[in-house]
Formats: sequence, structure tokens, C-alpha cells
Amino acid sequence: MSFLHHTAAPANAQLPNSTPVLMRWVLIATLPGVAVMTYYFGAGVLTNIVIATVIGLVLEAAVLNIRKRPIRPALNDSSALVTAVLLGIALPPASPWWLMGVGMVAAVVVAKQLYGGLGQNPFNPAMVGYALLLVSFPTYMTLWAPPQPLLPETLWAQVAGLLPAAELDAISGATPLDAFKHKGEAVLASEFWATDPLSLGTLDAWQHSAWAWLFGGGLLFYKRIISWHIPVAMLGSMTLLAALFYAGDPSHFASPSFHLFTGAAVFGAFFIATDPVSAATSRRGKLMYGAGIGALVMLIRTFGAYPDAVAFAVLLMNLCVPLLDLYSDPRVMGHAKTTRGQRLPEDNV
Amino acid sequence: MSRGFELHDRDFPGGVYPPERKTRSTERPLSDAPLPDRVILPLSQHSGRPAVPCVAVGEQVNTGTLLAQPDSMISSALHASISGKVVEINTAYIVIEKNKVSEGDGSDGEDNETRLKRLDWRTAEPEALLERLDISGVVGLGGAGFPTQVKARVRERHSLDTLVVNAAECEPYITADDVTLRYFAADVLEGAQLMAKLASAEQIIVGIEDNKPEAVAALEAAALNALPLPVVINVIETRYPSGGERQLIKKLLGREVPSGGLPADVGVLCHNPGTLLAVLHAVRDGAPLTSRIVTLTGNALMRPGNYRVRLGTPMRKLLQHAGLKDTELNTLIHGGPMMGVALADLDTPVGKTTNCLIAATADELPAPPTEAPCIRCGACEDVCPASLLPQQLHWYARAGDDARLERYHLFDCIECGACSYVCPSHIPLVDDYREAKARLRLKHIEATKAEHAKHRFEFRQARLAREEAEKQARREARLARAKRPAQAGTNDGDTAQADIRSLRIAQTAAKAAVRKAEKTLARTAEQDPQQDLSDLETQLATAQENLKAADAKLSAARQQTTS
Repeated sequence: MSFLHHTAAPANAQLPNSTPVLMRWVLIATLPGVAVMTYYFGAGVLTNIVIATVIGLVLEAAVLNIRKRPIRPALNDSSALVTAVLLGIALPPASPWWLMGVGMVAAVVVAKQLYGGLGQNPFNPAMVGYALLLVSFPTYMTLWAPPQPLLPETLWAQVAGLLPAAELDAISGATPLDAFKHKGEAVLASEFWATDPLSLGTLDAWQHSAWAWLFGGGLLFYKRIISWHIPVAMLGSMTLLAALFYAGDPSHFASPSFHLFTGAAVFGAFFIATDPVSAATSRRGKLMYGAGIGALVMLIRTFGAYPDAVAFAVLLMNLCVPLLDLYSDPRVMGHAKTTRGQRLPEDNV
Repeated sequence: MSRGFELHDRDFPGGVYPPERKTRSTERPLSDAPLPDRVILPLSQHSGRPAVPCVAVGEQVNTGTLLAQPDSMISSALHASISGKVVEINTAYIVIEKNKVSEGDGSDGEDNETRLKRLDWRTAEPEALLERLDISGVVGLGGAGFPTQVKARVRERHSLDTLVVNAAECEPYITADDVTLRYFAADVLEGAQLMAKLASAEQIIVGIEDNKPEAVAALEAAALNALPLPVVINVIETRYPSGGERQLIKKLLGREVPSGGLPADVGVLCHNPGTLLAVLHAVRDGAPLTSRIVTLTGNALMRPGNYRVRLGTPMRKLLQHAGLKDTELNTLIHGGPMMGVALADLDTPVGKTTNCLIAATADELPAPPTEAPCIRCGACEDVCPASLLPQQLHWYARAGDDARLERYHLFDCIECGACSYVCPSHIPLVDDYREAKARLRLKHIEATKAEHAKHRFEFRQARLAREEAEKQARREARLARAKRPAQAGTNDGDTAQADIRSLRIAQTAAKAAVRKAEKTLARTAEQDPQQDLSDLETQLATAQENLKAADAKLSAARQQTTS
């Protein structure tokens, strides 16, 4: 038994000393990104987060109550809060409240609690919620407003779900990834950019947000809440594939920097893919896991039906985690070889 | 499969930097603890079999009188640590009480010492030195208590080149080795020369963490006139658990002790400074192991420090000498805060492996917060000094998945506690592993027993078959003698020849089986003489029975054809 724990050792303040503290640092690290997004896309970003949080905490408490588990420690660990904040950030700003409600039911109730609660979920809860919404309510999920004032007139109607879809469409624009994807086969990239296809400031908004997420991710890394393996592998494999495509045909494929800094790549790499519960276990496994997500994001963005693909890529790689874990265990001291890939008789049943 | 990730060839993986809290016990000079009036000396203070008492109740003993002899190979002797009268002997311990001066029975209540003949290790025969270690009760004083003479004999089976003095002392609080080296560096190195001579080692390396500058200075001064072997002092970074035998060997020499193996498998012998000092005392001064240096520390003590303590001294007495504040004592820890155990009874005697006692207050070592679910953050993996995946082991230990626990190398865990230390969910990981190890060991024992029973059954079957075959052979011989040779059927000749051929093949196979069983037995006996060989002996006997049966059948068939 160890009698020393690093809670007892403030000298080691470098390390997060408890799971709730760790979760709170994740929340703190989202602040720069949330601030920049709010600056560009208005208070709708905040309403998303607030509504998702309230619904998420209520759902978490309700399910724990039904499961007859202690509620307070589970709420205190802030894991539901993190899921809610991440989903709120991922959804289009000023999404209607019921959209968040459906998403949080999928995330907290189905993806997390039905699998046994914190630590037991094979899939990233926020991404389960996001993916479900994306396939069920594509209209709401693909309408992303262009940069707008902090308090747009339609904000409250939008949040209350009272704004008709047609009007919603009118105030929305395309995301850069979306626009580029639908530029058409015949249009060359240079021609496409020459048409000035995005509303004023859209590209800046997305790029500056990405830088803010990078900053927040750096904070997570500095606080040793995440290791470098997953973000580096994910962004690295994206860059590599994007560079290959771009080098092959720059007139039809977007540049690596376009792929990295518009869309959810940086946010996903540091805040979504790094969810330890649903990621691969070992360091080597994390490299494979991150690289897999990056590759899937690029393949789906380039050849699939969706302009962005972080949610699907993460969920698909969540599926692969048992396999990655089997093939990634490190060589143990004193053993000449790893037992990587060694299966047990019962595995072959 | 490629192994491109091992970047640090000469370092062990992982490790943590817990608060050291060592200076509290090094500020006071080393001093002798008061002589106890009564000592309790357990018969099992070492790994292996308990010692066998060789004194009687009522006998007068001196400090250093042999009380109990080693039983079988892995065991150790036990000596009186004070002079006085044996007042109790039971299956677990021997109690000695100091004579009262008024009794007037020849002894004076003083500390009379019995010593053995002094030996000069430079000229003495190795066998004489080994025998001296054998009867001096020296065991590894670092914690495991492995009998030193057994370790010294390891060269009979391994070729060794390096003696490592493990002075890393990486656990927080403990300073016994540090202080031992500050005061007795030259003696420790002489003890190392002695053990190196016994092991035929070619070099001596001292591994010591950089948080012990005084000890390093003392060692460097002592190493100047190191003879006959050169002494290398390797000051390493302070990082827990650098004092783990396997970790230190990796760090100092870049060699990896194979899983399930011994340092001797990579040509290394590891000794703790306290042990080497005890070895030298046993040989040079003829003084058996009757005392040791113990760190007394913790915030519940007013005078923390290192004390030379007679073995068997009740801890309460010792702690009181160091100024125990009874009301503030929360936990008494035997050993360090990472790997030690909490003691419930303050009257436990100090043993040969007691390197440190921590009288901790509730503030200094508080109980861990409530356990939370594992979120597989991987902090444990980063600090594991054996490159294990503690989070996976935790998962499978809780699920009782024994097959996967072994696949993920549970038995390579050295139980250092680095994973428990960093776990943000405060999961008592090492406790889980110890429990799982115990369960698995039990299972293996059961499996071995079942296997053994099966082999005994096979032996019985083989014996019966052999007896039957011999009976048959005798019958055939009788028949052959009774019949006239002319009656031998030439028609049967072919089938009989074919029978003989197949029987000869069977006989050859049986011979090969016997040879194989003999080889296995010999190899196992050589590798580990302490192991129980009866199962392998049964298997050999079975093979021999089978061979005899094959011989008998063959001779019976030959009788048939010749008849």
C-alpha cells in the first residue's frame, strides 16, 4: 500500500491530482476557444453551452438516481459538464434548446450511463450526441451562421426553436469546408476563391478559433492533462494526407493549412480525440489511434458526403480501440519481445 | 516486430518524484538506542524457512550467542542480541530478558558479547568465508531479507562480473543507508570487496542518488584506496524507484534482468550497504548480526534520526526514545511510505529488515481520498518502471480475468507504488495487484497439485503395465523352454518379425523418453536446487517403468519367435 499520494504533495503541482481537477482544467482550457468563437459568432455559442450544461447535469443526476448510484460525487467529477460543454461548442451557435436536449440524451444517457457511467463508455459521449444529431437533423446541423454581432436579433427565437427553418436558412452561411466541398467538379480552386464564396470574415473567424483551440490544447499539454501522442498523430496524419492530395492536384484539393485551420480539426485533436476513456490505452496505441482519426477525417472530408468528419472519425476509431490495444502493448522490462498481438485461446471463440 | 521506441537504452522507464522528507532524520548524528531489557527475536526474519532453535529456556546467553540454526538451504541463523536469559521459546520467536544485577548468578547484567574467530577475508578460503556468513545470520538488510550466504553462492551456477552496491535508497523518509555510508563508507566498500571476491566479480559499482552528497563524498574518499578491485561511484538522478534492483541494474549497466530471472542471470550481484557492513563485521570482527541501523522518523517523533538498534527491541521503546508524541501518532509504517506496511501493534520487535519506522501524523500522510472510476488517463503507464500497462492490469484484476492478467505481465510488477501515487482517481492499484498475484499463485499451486496427482496416477499405470509385461515375458520364456524348437512355425515368422520391429521402435522411444526426463530433472535441479523435484522424479520413474515394460514385451516377443 502506498501511503503517499500526490494530493499529499503540493510540490508536484505539475500533475493534476484528482479526476475532478483534471476535468476542470479541461473546462478552463476551452475558455480561449469559446471566447474567440463568441466574439465572431455571437452569444449563440454561450447559449449552446449553458443549455447543454443544464440539460446534461439534470440528465446525469436523473439517471444516477434511477441507477441508485450516489449523485453528488458523480456530478462533482465534472465529467458530464465537460461532455455538455464540448457538445455545446460543436453544435452550430444558437441551436434550438431541443436539439441540445436530444444530443445530451444520446451523449449522457445512452453513450455514457447506459454503458456503466464514467470510465466505462467505449464511445466518446459528446461525439455520439453530435453524430446522432447530424444524421437525424441535418438541416439544423449544417446551418452555421456567418460572423455576426454579439447579440443577433434572432438569437432568442432561434434558441427557443421558434424561428422557421426557411428564415434560419436565410441568416446562415456555409462553413469554409462546406463551401469548398460543394464548389463543383468543373470549378478550379483558384476560380472558386476568386468568386469570394464566403461571407465577410468567415475564414478569419474559423482560423482565429483554431488558433485559440491550439492555445487551449497547449494549456492541457502543459498541465499534463493530455499527452502529445493523440493530437500530434491526428494533425500529423491529416497534414500528410492533405499534402499528398494537394501536391497531386492543387486545383481540386484544399491545402493542408485549409484543412487544419478551418473546421474542427484542432478542436477535435486536443479536446475530442484525447478523451482518455474511449481512446487507445498505451502510448503506441494512442499514436495509432490519433493517426487513424486524422486519416479518416481526411478521407471523409475528401471523398465522403460530409464536409467535416471529426465525430465520425473519432467514433470509428473508438470501435478500433480493442484491436489497437491488442497490438500496441509496450515491451515490458525483462522481456526480450513484446506480447503485442498475442491472443488468448478464448479470444478465438 | 520492430522495437524502435526504446530511446533510453541505459535508463529505466517511468518513475516519480515524491517529496523526499529525508532531511528530518539526517540532521541528528547516528547514535545507539538504549539497550533493551527484553528482546523478542522471531525465527523468521528472512525469506525462506524459519530458523530452528538450538537453545533451551533458562539458558544464559551472551550477545552473539547462536539461538537458532538455519533450516535447509534458504534459511538463516539467529543470534542473541542482548546478554541475559532465554525466557520463552515457541514456534514463532525466542524471548530473552536481561539479567537482573541482584540475582547474582554469575552474570552481571552487563552486555557481554560472544564473538567468533576473526577472519582475514583476503587470505581466507572462500568456503570458510561462506561458512562464516552461514553462521552469522546475515541477510539482505534492504528489505527482502534474503540470506546473504545463498546469494554469495550464486556464482556456483552463474558467471558474474559486477557487484553493485545498491545505495540508491530511493524511497522517501528512509536514510539508513545514507547514514551508514556517511559513517562507514570504507567498511561498506571493504565488505563489497569481500563479496566481490566470493563472487569472482571484476568490478564494483556503487549506485547512489544525487540527494546524498555527504554519503557520496564519504564514498569518494573511501574509494581512493579501494583494493583489489576498482570502485566506480555512479551518482544517479533522484527518481523513484531507482533503488529497485532491476531498475538500478538497467540504469548503471544498461542490462535487463530477464523476467522471472535473477540479477545473476546478467552477471550482476546486488547488495545493500547495510548488508555489506554486516558481512564485514561477521568476517573481520567475528560479530554475528545482532543490531542494525534504523531510521526513526515522522512528525509524531520529537527526535527523529538514525539509531543503531539491537534486533528484537520492541518498537514502542525505540519510538519513545525518539520522543514519540502518542496523541499525534496516526499510522506507524514499517519501511517507506511507498512500499511499507502499516503496523497495528507498537510492540512489534525490530527485525533484520526494519530499515525505517515512520511515526506519521494524520496531516503528513493522510488517508487517500475516496476512490473514483478509472478514466484510463494513462498517468500510471507513464510512471511504471517496468513498462507495464497498470490501467489494463487494474481493469483485468477487478474483472478477475486471470488469463489477461498474465498476458499483461502482472508478475513483472515490482509493487513500487508509483502508479498508485499518481493515480488521479486514487485507486489503490498495488493492493489490487498484490491480491491478484496471491490468487494466481494459489491457482498455480492447485494446478501443480492436480498435475502432480496425474503424474502419480500415470506412474502407477506404468508400473502395473510393466509388471504385466514382465509376467507375460516369463510365461513366454516358460512356454519356449517347454516347446521343441522344431515346432516353431515358419509361417508366423513374418508377423512376428513385424511385431518385434514395432516393439523395438517402442523400446527406443521409451529410452528417449527416459533420457529426456533425466535431462529435464538435471536441468531444473541445476537452475534451482531449492525447487521441489518430486514431480519430475515421478515423471522420470514413469518413463523408466515404460522402458522396462517395453524391454519385457520385446524379450517376450523374441522368446516367441525363437521358440
